[in-house]
Amino acid sequence: MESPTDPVGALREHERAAALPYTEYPPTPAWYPPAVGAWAALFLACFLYLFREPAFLFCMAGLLALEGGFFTWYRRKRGTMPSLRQAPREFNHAFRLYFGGLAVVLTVVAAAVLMLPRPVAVLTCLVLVTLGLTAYERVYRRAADATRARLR
Amino acid sequence: MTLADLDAVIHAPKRLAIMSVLASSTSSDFGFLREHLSISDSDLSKQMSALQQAGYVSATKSRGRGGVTSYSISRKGSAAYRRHVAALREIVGESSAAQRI
Repeated sequence: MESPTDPVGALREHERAAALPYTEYPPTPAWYPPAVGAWAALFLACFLYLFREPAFLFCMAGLLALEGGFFTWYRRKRGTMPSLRQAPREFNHAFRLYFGGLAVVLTVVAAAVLMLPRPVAVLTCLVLVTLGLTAYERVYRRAADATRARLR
Repeated sequence: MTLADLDAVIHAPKRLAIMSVLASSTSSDFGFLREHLSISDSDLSKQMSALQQAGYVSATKSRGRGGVTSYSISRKGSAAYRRHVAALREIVGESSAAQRI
């Protein structure tokens, strides 16, 4: 670590440390994108098939509990969680892609719900969420690698 | 801003690094800080105590066996951290400008 009287070194160390919650994370398991895709498809199916049925609430509660359990497990495994404040500049592209992709997926799935049979809409949701997350994971990994290389 | 604007608690390099991690995360575990900042258990405990005493950091310990201690930056800590980094940037900016003259 740098001497406390060296402001340039202190700033460099600050930037390196601030990037750690973004760049240091365990490898994302291969099952993660399809699992989230399946979760999103089940969520949609719940609305399409069970809305106004008593089972709807149980379905929603189960899916939300599953999501909460996953986030608790993942946070513990990662040891930290980025706050999305002061993200390294390399991640701007990844975040833009994420929110842009999310808007596209939501629009296409909404169109599928309105125009296609329900099973096809659910399948569309499963495929799009899985592919979208797979692409995002790749972009995120590249951003983390570029940040590590810059701050090395 | 001058050296006098630097926060005495955060100015120590290890504590600045810890505050930088906490400022960019919702919370971070003791193990994450120890591993990625390469600080020993005892040293990290000492640094965290200093930050907690200053009111810059709060800690929560998960229940059960193998409970994990997580830290998050407080509002006071966040403000002090931002001031400290701004002062560092100001000093670096001023010294770079002076070197150009």
